[in-house]
Amino acid sequence: MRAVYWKELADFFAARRFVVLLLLIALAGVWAAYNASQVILDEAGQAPTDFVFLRLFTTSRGDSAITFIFFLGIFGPLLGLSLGFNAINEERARGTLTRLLSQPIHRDALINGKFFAAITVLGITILCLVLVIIGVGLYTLGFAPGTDEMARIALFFVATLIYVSVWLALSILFSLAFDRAVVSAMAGLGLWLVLTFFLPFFSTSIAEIVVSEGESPEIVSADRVKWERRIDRLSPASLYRESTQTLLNPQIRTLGLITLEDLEGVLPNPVPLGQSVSLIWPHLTGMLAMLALIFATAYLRFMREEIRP
Amino acid sequence: MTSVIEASNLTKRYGDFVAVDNLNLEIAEGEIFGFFGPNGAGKTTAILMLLGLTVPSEGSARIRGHDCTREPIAVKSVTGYLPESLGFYGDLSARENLLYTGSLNGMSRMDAVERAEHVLEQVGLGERAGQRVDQMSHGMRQRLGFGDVLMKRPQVVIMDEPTQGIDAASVPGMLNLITGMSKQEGITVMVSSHQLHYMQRICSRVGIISQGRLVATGTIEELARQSGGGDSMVMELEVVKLDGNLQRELTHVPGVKGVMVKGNVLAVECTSDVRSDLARVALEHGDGLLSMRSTDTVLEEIYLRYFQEE
Repeated sequence: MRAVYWKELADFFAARRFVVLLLLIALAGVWAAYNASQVILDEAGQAPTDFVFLRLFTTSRGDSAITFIFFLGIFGPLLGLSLGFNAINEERARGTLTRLLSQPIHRDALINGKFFAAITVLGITILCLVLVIIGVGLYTLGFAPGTDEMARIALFFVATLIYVSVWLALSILFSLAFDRAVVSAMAGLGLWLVLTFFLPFFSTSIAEIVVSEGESPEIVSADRVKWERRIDRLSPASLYRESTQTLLNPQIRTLGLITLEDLEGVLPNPVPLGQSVSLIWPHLTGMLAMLALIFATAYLRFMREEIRP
Repeated sequence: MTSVIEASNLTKRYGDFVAVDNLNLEIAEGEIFGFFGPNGAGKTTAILMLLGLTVPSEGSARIRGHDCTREPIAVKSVTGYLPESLGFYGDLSARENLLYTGSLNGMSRMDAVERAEHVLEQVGLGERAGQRVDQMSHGMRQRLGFGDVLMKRPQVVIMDEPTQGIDAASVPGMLNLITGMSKQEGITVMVSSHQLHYMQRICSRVGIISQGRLVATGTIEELARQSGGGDSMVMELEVVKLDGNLQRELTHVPGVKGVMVKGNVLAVECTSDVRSDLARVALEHGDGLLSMRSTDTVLEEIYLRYFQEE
């Protein structure tokens, strides 16, 4: 697997489409983080406040929702998709698949090597982006993040890597299912559009159909919101959004429906890291399960594929 | 002679369709075995089963004693495969492509670099080692394919249409490469092709497959007799100067049915393989023998006879 891994790693870093996408995300991310730092400075002057570094990832200027995590949530999947959409079908079309598999390597070495090389590239890329944001923060705010902030940023990195890897696994599966790279790319983009942008609309409609009547309008509304969230959480984009917001905003203490009664007597203190992690644990395991399921499907399909020159 | 490639009742079914039907085959060390048949006859499926890339429905195959299904890694480490259209990474140079093959075969970087240079020289691409593959002609890529196969120092080479798409001027070089593999390096070669006139020059034994079944195996002469070419064969003797005495002496050789003259060529019809006797007589009674070749055992004719029968 090592030979495939190193070859793929070199290919990914040299691929023009990857470099272009990475530069776009990096520029947009730096711009979002710089804007956030200006907002933080405007609001609090030069004085440090609690978890101010985390606000670099979650704050936007004015009414705009364009934050760093928004960029990563939207365009991160494109990075994952760009690394896997032609993983197998291009080898097949080029005639290199037979050549590779007639060498003394196990068949799974090819798909594993490609997958882990892509994950390495994604890990390095996301880490660099996070470090750039921290750098922007150090430069503009003039102080370093605290230990708790660093731990939350590290967990944010892990959550982002899992999220982007889900899209990578999906694109590898499509590269096996479709003979042409362009078709697998379009399928990946289509699913990304549906799960990221259209599912929230569908979930509202589905919730209205499922919960049509109840004891009172309040209960109906509450039930509908519950159903909407259940449906939304089928999408990795929704799981990622909720988990990163919880990690990077320690004020969030629940991801369920909050009533006024729930808020009675609650002190507006940030929750400890352990509590934030326990809140997003189902989200992280959900994304990991999606990743494992999709990659296992791709793996099995590849292992059973009839190889023809 | 030791059998290097063995197939025993090798069968592959896709649903009700039988692609390869009870294939039994033995190929000895150093042989160049021609594996011929029409499109869809099951050649490629049989080859893929030998390489461990397709699992047989029944039967077994062994290469160098390794079971092709249970020990595919061992099989692939001694077997080089050249498919009809071997793919390369176009953005990499010829050398880089071979180095990747070397790394897949567990070679150290230094060993792979050394081997790649040697192999590129061997296939006549020494000066093109740094050229990107997508800038190479089809013929050059085909030669690079040979290089790729040789990179792993194989003991067995299986080739599918090695001369397909190559200009006639380059074919002799290719055929020399194949015979060189067999004679100089002792590599056992199994070659599948539709270009039978080329294959006739290099194959020591052939097998004909039709509808998944191996319908004939043997030397070209043996197949000529089996396929109803009669008991006779015609040998053409090209001599320096034709002499009536030589013609008469040849007719007295046991097994010779008749002799016809065509310019300075004597066409000798015989009932058995009497080439050594013919050569001896030609040397004793003629001014010199330039060449001797069998004319009625043309592989294409034998091949067609098998399919006409069906």
